[in-house]
Amino acid sequence: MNDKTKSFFETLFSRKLVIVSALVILFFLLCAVASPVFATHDPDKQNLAEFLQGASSSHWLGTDQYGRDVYSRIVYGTRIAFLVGIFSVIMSGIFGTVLGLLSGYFGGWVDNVIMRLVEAIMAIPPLILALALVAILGRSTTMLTVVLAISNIPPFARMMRGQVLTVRDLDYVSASRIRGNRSLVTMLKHILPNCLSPMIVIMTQSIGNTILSEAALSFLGAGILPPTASWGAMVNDGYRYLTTNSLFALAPGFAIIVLVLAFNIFGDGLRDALDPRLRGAL
Amino acid sequence: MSEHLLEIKHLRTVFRMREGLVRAVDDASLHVDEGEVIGIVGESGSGKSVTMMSVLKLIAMPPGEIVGGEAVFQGENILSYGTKSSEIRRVRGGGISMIFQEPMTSLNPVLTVGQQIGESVMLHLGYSKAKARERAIELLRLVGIPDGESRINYYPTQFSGGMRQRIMIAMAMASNPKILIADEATTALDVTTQEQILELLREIVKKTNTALIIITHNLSIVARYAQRIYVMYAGNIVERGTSEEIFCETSHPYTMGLLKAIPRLDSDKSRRLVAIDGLPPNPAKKTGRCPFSERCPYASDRCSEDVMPPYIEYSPTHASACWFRPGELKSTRSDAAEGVLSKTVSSEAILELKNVRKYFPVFKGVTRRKIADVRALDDVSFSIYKGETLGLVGESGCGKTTLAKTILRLYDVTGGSIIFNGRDISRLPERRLRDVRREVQFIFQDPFGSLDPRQSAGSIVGEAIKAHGLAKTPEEYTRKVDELFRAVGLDPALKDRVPHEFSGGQRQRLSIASALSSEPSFVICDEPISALDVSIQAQIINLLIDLQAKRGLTYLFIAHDLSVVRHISDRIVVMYLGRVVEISPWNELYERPLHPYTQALLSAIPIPDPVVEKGRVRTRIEGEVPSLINRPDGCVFHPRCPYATERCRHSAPPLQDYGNGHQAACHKI
Repeated sequence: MNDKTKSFFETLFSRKLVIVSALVILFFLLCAVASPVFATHDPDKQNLAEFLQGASSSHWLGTDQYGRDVYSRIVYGTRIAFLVGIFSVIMSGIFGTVLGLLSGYFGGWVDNVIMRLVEAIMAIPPLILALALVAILGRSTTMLTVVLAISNIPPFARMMRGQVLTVRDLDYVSASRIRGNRSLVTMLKHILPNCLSPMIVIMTQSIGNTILSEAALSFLGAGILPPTASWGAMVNDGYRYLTTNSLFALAPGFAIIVLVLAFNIFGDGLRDALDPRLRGAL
Repeated sequence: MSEHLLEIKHLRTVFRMREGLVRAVDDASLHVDEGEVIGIVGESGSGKSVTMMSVLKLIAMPPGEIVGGEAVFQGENILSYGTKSSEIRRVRGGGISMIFQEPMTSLNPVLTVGQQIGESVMLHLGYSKAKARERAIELLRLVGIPDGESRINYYPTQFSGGMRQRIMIAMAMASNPKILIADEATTALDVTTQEQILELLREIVKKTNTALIIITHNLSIVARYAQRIYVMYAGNIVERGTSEEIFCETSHPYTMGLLKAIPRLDSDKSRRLVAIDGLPPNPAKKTGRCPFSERCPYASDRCSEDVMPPYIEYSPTHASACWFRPGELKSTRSDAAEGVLSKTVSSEAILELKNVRKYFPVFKGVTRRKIADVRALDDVSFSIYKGETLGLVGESGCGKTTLAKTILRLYDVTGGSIIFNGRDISRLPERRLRDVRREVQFIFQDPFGSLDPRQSAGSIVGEAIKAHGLAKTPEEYTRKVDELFRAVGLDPALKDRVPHEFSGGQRQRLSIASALSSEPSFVICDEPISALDVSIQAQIINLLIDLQAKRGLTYLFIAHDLSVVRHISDRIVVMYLGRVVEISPWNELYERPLHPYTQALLSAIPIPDPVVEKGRVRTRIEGEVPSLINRPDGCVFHPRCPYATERCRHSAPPLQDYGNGHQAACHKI
């Protein structure tokens, strides 16, 4: 490991909260990957005899209205959260980066077309846009991922464009043109790598927000199809029984809060570690 | 003993950094008397600024710490004051005030200059608001800004760089300080403005009997203005003396090296610059022995002793921290000064510029209506012959860099033609420019901005080889990159490092290697040494000259420093506000400058020799380079020209030939 990566990790983990958030994310990731190991019951198996039970030694967080184990469903719910959160952010990240890069590098009419398109997406509130798209495209996990990705493109594209505009006029980019490189080489080799740090930061931070959006859509009934376990849908199911079995709604809600918070804090830490101005001060 | 106005004794300042203890100032002693002008000279990192900042307790603590010494100012040790105490605040700005390098950022843009000067007056002299205003007007008059009554309500943005530096001086003088410190106060300014500001400083301190401390890296400035000089190297004061003693009886090998390393306006041009080998030491790795010993051509066994050499006193004022007297110095290395420069210049033009124009449109309002053109280049015509070095000089805004970027076709041409090797390249589309790109290369001014921070050194240097397919096999590629590294004096083993792991001089070498990788015939050097330390500059100039001889290169060498240009160029073009005002063979230009602007430019450059300085006749010009947007009609130089007539206000003089290839554009010749 060279000095640069070393100082990166040192800064990243200099705050205790960032370490905690990284551990939280890792733990949830482990739950998602090894759900069967962590779960105590089959998440989808109904057992109407045991419906809406409180916490007990066999059902740690009680059961839902069909008698399914809430704890196991939360464990399996991490899969959906990560799947939707990470994949949609990666998709929107890629599209946003490419659009921003083209827009910033070429300027002129390319910039105009791309930016007006992006602004058109931005003009509609993201949740409403997602609801509308789901209504048109139908409900499935893949659709949900795509829908969330589309509504997430504008901030990425705009961020990238801004980055490209600052880097584009630097001497080493002119140098690349003078040395005879084609536009594509200049763009991919010199501009893109120097614009990526802030993109990685906002991508991390949007994973949390996307998980929240997925939960919100599922809560509204426009997200994941039942019976697949999703935290948002569980909260929706559970809030009707708040008085009889409060854990049923509170436990998945708590999981959402913790994971989203962890991603946001980790994103903050990442920003501090990647920001060259802060690093230069050390 | 303590009769000096300020006496610093054995000051030691350290910074506790991650890489270790940095001894920024290591046992420095100096003093100033009332009304005296002294200079502290050193390269970046020599501790010259930190010394004065420590005295005012302005260094960041931590990581900085003053670990020893005292500074006696008017009978009191000001180092004993607390960092935030009211005593030290009374000294700062009150007894001792300071002006900094960057006039653009040291004034607050949302307050009028009157408010900012008044603030200082009210704070230190306890004046009322009305009285402070009067004093502010008086101060503006003192620093040569007329109509203070109205100008006092202007905001800093309404002033030019030189004017802002005058305002900074007014603010610094507001409290009638005993000592004024000018920390690289003129480095960011144009040559002619620099001269005006320094003259102003000298007049003011004479009038008010204030002591002036000039902190600079520029030996020539102190030769002209300072009475006594301290030379600093790696935190130590290595030599002190009156300016005559420093320049005529130079005793320390470092000072000698510096004097040999800078090209002078009056030196023998065929003499090769003697570069100081190596790099300034990392202050974190100081061993306690003479810090210069590693780079010293005279270093002997004695120098590796683990103690700092004591001062040898030559006179009450002159001392040098070296084990040897100048007569005892024996060079242990071969003197690099051999070799007379010779080269062949063909009569065939490699590049011809014909009436090249570059206008930048100015838009205004929501409809983006074009309201004017900024004429960055206006009818520029000249030729460069194969094998020669053409120097291009002028102050900021004269169009030097615009011209370079236009030749490189980074900018589109507004009018005229650029003929390279017989082919007009001014309107070729980008994709047909590729073979021109191979032939014409560029060396950037800033070695920190021109190298991609995320690429390895090897890939930066090899980039053009790949882009133009100059290597058939991976082995050939590696061989070529290694060759280029060696050609610019870098170890090929450093290929995998990224730019920030190199020093400024090394980065400029990388930049040169990368420019040469496509085997160009014509290289544009845009101020390639102005961002480097003095001792490194000579290394780079020598490298450029050697490479030209070995590879038969043609250079267009852009600089604002006429002495450097004189050293390297065969012919020189002088530009002012987008126009060529004079073209001449180098010797003609310096012996017989025709254009009043060239004359002023030449006389504004100080020569690092106080004896020569005193005997020089100087042409001085008023005012500053105007903004390109308010370009004067007629001859662009007429508002500043001492000889301007009515005719100059209306008609622009064309370039006329005066024999020997000497051309100038002036009505009065």
